Amino acid sequence: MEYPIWQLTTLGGGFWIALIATLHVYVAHFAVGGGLFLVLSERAAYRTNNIDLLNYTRKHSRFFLLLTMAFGAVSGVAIWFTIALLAPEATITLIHQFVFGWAAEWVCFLGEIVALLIYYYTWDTMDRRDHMTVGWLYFLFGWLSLFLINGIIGFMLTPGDWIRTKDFWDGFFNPTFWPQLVFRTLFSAACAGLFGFVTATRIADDATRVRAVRACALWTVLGVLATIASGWWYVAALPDAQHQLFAGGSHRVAGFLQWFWLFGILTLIGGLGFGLKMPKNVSFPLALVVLAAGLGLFGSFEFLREAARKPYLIWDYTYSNSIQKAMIPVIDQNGALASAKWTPPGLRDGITDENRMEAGRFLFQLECAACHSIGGPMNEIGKRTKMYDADGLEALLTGLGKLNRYMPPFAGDDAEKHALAVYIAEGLNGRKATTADVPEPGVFDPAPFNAESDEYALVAWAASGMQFYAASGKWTLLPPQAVIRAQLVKRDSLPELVNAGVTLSYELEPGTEGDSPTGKLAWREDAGRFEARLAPQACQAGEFQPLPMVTVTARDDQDTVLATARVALPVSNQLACRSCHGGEWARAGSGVSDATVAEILATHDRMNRTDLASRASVACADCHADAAQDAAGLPQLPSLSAAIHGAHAVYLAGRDADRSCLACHPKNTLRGRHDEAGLTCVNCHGSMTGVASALLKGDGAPGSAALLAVVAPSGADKVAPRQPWTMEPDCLTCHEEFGAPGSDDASGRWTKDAAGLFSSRRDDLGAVACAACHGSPHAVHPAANDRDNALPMQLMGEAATLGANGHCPVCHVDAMDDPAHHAGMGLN
Amino acid sequence: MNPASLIPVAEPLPIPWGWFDILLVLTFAVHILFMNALLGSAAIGLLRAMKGDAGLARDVGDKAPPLLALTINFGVAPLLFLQVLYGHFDYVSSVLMGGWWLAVIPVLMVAYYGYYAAKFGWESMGAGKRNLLLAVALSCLLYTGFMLTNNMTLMLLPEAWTEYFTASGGFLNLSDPTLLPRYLHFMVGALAVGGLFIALLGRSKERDDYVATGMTWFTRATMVNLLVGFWFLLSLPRPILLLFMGGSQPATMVLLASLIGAGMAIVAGLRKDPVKSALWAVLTVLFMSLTRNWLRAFYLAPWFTAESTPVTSQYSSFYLFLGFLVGGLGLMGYMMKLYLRSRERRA
Repeated sequence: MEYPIWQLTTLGGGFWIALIATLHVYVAHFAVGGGLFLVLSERAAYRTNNIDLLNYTRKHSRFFLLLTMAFGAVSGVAIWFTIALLAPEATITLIHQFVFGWAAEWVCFLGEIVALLIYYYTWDTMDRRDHMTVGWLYFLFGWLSLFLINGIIGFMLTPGDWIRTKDFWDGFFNPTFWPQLVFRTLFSAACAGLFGFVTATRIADDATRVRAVRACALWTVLGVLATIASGWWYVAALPDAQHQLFAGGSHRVAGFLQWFWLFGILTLIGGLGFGLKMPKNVSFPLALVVLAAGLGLFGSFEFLREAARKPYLIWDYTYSNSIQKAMIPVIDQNGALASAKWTPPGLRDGITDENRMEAGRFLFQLECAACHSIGGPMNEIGKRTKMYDADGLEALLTGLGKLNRYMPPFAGDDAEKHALAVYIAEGLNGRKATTADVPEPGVFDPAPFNAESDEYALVAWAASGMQFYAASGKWTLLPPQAVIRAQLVKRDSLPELVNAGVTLSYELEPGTEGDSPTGKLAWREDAGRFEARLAPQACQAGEFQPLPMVTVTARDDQDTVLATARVALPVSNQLACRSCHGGEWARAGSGVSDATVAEILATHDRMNRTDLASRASVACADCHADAAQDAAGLPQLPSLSAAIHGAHAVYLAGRDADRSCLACHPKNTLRGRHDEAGLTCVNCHGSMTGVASALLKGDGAPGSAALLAVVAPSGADKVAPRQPWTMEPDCLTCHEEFGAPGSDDASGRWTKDAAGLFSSRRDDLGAVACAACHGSPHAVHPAANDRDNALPMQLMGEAATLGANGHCPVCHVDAMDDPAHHAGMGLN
Repeated sequence: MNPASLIPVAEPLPIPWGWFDILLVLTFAVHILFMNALLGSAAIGLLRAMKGDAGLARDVGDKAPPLLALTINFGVAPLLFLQVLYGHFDYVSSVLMGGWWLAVIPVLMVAYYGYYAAKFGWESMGAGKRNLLLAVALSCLLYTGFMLTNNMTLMLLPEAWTEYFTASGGFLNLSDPTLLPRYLHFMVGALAVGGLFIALLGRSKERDDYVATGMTWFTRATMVNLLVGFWFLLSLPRPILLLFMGGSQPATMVLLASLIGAGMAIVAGLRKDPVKSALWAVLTVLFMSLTRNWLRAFYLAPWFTAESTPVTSQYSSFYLFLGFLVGGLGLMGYMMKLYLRSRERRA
């Protein structure tokens, strides 16, 4: 936020530091262990009076000079230059906090140079004992360098009490200081052996070569084994948060850990192999291979260390993108463009349609480019975001760093988040916004009804108003299913519900795909209604149709038609999973395609360490309980509703219903009068965060509490817990005493159980179902389209609640003046 | 745009700024002396080699890698102390230079291995190839110096920073009229001290021709450098120039002291006395290093003064450094003693 940005694309994302640091640190460890190796070899040569060994040590000291003093020193400076260019703000902190640590290290660096120069140039002239003294001093200065740098590197991973005290010594002797010092010292010894092979395998004299190579093999093997052993101590010393990242929280760590073991084993095998006697022309190339394996081993360790430090450069203090943790709330408040000193002049007055892409580009450089390259080898951004459209990416930015702890949060305001999302999704990836086209529902003629002569009135409704499904050969989130319910009324001045001597059958609108397009409705004595379970799909003749009509017909024993009702049966598969999970629509502008499913499963695997992507087929309810599918799930896991709302709320927090709920619950099935009145999902169900919190709080699984803490970081004390599918908003919360609404917030007061749901409940007489007169949930009369209004149009010639506006004769034949079904009824 | 809005915030110092200033000036002077000895002697040696006499090039080439090691090492210290006091200026200019600045690293690497290759492969190489190698290595050093001059001047000029918003990538401080005379002042100084280094080498090797050549280079280059120095002085913004012309007493005095030092060095040079010349040269470099420090303070005065930086007074880590410095220098002195003893043995 304080410094200009060294703008990189292909070679961004920390490429330079990864390259330089890995090589430098390998050579630097060699400088330490190799110093000891040199002087011990020299001593062995003197003791055994082996002139060949002495000559070897001399030659090795030249290799040493060329590698450590030239490459080692310059690449060390290179790290400094590079971090100052890539992360000036964090580097300044390191410089200021540890200036005298660095300065002391500079003294050691000078001591190393002086010692090595004298050591190298005085093989012939200096007294043996003096020469070895200089060698020992060289090792001492080298090791002290390690000692000092170790304190500062350890500080970055585990700053310990420094966070509180800002005291040099608290930062320096941090919680991992000692284990890391031992670890690195032992690794230095292994490096001495690894680099020793390079010169030892070129010794002309066979006997000396075998001896020197075996000595190197011993250093390597014992060094690597001891390094790995001390690694346990190191890992055990990590404070909880980093330990969690290390021990199972982060797939990133897991990836590097695999490399660590692979290279560790290769290095060991190589080291052991050198214990065997082999000819010179074989051993030298092999030495280079083993040296490379050692580099792999050490490189993977350094990457591991960095992965365990994510998302910080300095743990809990400075994020990977150099933004200080403490500044995030301020930046969120004021905006990143206003907070960054080096915001280009064209962006200082805010984001407009014209400069949005440029703003996104700058924000990418400001907040992302420290770790992500554009088209380069390091954490390439396109590959990681190709599945997101701008809206999906914006959601990702909202949830950044919450579930996947290895990324810092986005810092900035909503317009900036949007600009960054647009830049990445559309500017870089060329991904178009996901659109969901919905065909006009189409006119559907009501069934005939003659108010004068018909003896029966048939009413029907769908149990779920916004039924959706997502299922394919690859997965089943929720299978296609719908329940149609009906009541048959014998018209009279005292009407009766008829359940005997009649048969109710249904027929789906011709062309509607799905199982059981026709069938019978069964009487349910407990609920006082007829009911049938169907499995329609949202497709008619190849076209997306989320509101197929179903015709219900009541016949008597003689198969004479008594009454007919036509109602819309909502069923949609237009879930916009692809907004965030990639892929195309499965077909006809709807449906979750296999590509999308594969990405969803891969994400699940990554975040929960599962293996779903590799399975032939996955049913979510096999593990996650779901009342809608009568699935018990596994007790230790959250219910499907709690898990899905919980995980997605992290990313969709703070959004209105259109951009959260309705991204997944297809909007084309939301069509009741509440929508017309300007109410949204949130008015009844609560916000995305509220829904998720209530479900998680109501869920007993161990993981739910942890997820709840992420979803509602400021606590969920006031959230009323609920169970999915059975505990839903209660109409009477707003419509007190069945009157006009006194409030527009129904969330938090849930129905007790399934019997209390609007689609199941009956009137004060315990006879007529609420939905029979008011219509299906989410399509309450008068609804927004003809299909949903078909039934009142049929029975009353008017799109209104059945019986309203003086239409009592629909059932009663005569006009009535007593609100018998429930209070009010528009009569008083 | 007000350039002041671009200046990052200064982080607190553990101990008062004056300590860092002292360390900065002292270590910078040593850095310059090593750099001068390396670059000047390499340049003079190469010129001689191109005229057909490769002896000097070989003798100074032998010393080039150790000198480069020490130059780099003594470059680290002042750069560290500079970053403590003025990092919020220097890091900005570094980023503005971008790739130009980072290129210093591979370029130094090429110089390093170039000199090593020349040293270890001297016999097996033809003169043409050898000279080319030395020329490449020297160009690398010249590049590094030029980048340092760019960085050290660009950091002083927040008003020049706004070019960042229009430049297509890293840029240099080429529009600054002081850039060229400042750079030349260092490079001509390098020829002078390089000559002196050759003379001292000649003295230790008992090669009178080296002494003569070296002292001639020293004297003439120092004279030329006086002129370059005046050019540099006159290129400074007028208010700053006036500060050195009596406007600021201490600044004027250190500049005068530098001039006197240079004058005395020339006198000693004309008398062909390398030891006395060296003494005056070291003093002059030290005074010039101080002068340079004043110059930076004057440039930055409208934006920032080191005195204004908050201090946390964490002295204990300073003592850690002093301990390492005293102990380290002691051990280095001991090793030098062993080294000198070994030379005596050889003699």
